[in-house]
Amino acid sequence: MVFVGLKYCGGCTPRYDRVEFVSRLKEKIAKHVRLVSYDDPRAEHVLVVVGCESACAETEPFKDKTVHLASQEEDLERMAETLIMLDNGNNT
Amino acid sequence: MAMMTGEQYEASLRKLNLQVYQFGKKVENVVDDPIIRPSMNAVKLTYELAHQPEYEDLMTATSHISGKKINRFTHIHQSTDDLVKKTKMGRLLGSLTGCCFQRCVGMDAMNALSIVTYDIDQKLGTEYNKRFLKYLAYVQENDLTCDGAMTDPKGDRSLPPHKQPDPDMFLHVVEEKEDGIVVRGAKAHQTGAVNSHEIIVMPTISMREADAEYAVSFALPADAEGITYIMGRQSCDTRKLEAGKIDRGNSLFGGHEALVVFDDVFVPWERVFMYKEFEFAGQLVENFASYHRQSYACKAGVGDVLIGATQTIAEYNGAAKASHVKDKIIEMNHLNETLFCGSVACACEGGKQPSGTYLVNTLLANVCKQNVTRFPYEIARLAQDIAGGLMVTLPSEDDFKSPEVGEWLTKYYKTCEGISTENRNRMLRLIENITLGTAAVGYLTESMHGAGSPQAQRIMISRQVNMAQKQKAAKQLCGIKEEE
Ligand SMILES: Cc1cc2nc3c(=O)[nH]c(=O)nc-3n(C[C@H](O)[C@H](O)[C@H](O)COP(=O)(O)OP(=O)(O)OC[C@H]3O[C@@H](n4cnc5c(N)ncnc54)[C@H](O)[C@@H]3O)c2cc1C
Ligand code: SF4
Repeated sequence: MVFVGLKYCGGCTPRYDRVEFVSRLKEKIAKHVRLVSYDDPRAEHVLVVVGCESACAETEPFKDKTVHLASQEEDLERMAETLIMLDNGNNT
Repeated sequence: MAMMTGEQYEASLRKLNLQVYQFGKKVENVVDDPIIRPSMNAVKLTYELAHQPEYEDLMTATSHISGKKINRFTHIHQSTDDLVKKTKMGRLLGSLTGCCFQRCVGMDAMNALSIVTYDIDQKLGTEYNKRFLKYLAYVQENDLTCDGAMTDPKGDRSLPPHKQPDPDMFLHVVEEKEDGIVVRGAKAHQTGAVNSHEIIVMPTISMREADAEYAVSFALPADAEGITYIMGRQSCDTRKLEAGKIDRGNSLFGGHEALVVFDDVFVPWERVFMYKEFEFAGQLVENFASYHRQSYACKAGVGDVLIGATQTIAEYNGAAKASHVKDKIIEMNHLNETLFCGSVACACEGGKQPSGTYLVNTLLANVCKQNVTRFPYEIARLAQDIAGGLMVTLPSEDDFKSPEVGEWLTKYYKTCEGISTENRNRMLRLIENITLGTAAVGYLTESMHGAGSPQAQRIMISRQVNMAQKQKAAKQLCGIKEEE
């Protein structure tokens, strides 16, 4: 199990439902990844979920971490695979 | 404290001892008053969202004074990025409340004062900026809502303050004491006044020496002795007193404005930010107005709600597939996004002031607001076109529940298969609310006059465009030599 920080953009005009996206993602990665607050010290990776291509979420505080960006609904499968890989990577 | 929750905000309001009048009577319980309550809910949301991960990136900022996380409504913009986030926060909140959420005016007043107090000090060796920053730290630490009070009643519009037959038509200093000043006058149309902890007063127009006693800016606790609030009434306001919620249109949120009377109110020196420096009154007005003209990104947020309602009612009515309806909704979106463009543009093109505060590009902020004085009216017109006449002839919620006539209403106001008549009513009432009910105050008339009537922007636009540069470009292309 790995801990991944979760950060959203502020959601002014999102093109999709970011919160629903995360809840679907959580289901897919439940066995491998726990999403925690972005400032959780256990998280070396941060998932940044933004509502559109402007991707204006503040990521400066994560410059020492690895950031994974989701900006559209279609990113769901790819992101699930990427995050699960983090856990597999840990196991090997 | 740094950031209050919604509950803490509500509790903090209950501790205030405001003198509020409405319908000729004193309001004893402001927070729970059914007419005022929806407006409190809207401000409360600005506190709640700051704690929600999916909104906090817009709703919070890092204080340049304390380094702490604060509500963006108490922040002094430190970059163009901050200005853009302010625009986006306005759109977000407009779309979640469908009304005026009231907290921008205070934010805009503080940002303008952070610039002007610094500039006064630089020129005159005063210490207003130090005072202001101390006050700002207090506002940020306690996460306060501030009313930005600029507009005076103004009496005869053709006369400057000192020539008014009644000297109180513009708020002014009536006494100077060792420990402070005494002020008298009033501020009209005050958005969110009775949901505020503090009131920040600024002059309303540029001034000359003869008006020096009117060139005054200060902040006071909202319940300071001598301050009285008289609530403005809004079209359809008493629907909030009815048991049913459908006829309100917006069942959760609303806005309010009030006349605030200062009847010889004492202001201690540490809360005075301008005192007779008449030559800076115009700059304070222009800076505040520019910020507030940017703030009208909120109208694009309310526009989101109105467009959503219009699309839905078209579907409920079975008209959504008609090409002219589709085209009108495209037009509504086009106008709405153009409003947003103006606010984003003036934020992106903003710049750093000597104080360190970032100010919007004032030309583009005025262009933005000029569009705001027009486009919401056209968006509202298109919404009413698509909604149909029932929006204004619909019987009341009680009639729908009536054992005698309710069935007829349900039968005759049915549209497409599978569409509930009640849902159709709800949507029609929401469109009514935004285009001619309580929320039209914010969506339409405030779009016209708030942050200055249309002519005020036209004057600023004419002053700020570089006409000589445009003429030079034209002359060069058609071969006119400058010296000719
Ligand atoms: C819903 C709402 C909320 C508001 N909220 C706030 C708030 O929170 N804080 C705040 O400080 N203010 C607020 N305002 C006030 C707003 O800034 C003023 O309404 C605006 O400045 C216009 O002033 P007025 O309403 O007195 O109209 P007027 O000044 O009377 O203007 C009416 C018309 O007369 C013209 N006019 C006026 N004077 C002159 C003149 N000397 N020469 C030529 N033409 C003139 C104007 O251009 C306009 O066309 C709010 C207004 C509204 C409607
Ligand atoms: S009208 Fe808009 S900018 Fe003004 S206070 Fe209300 S929400 Fe803010």
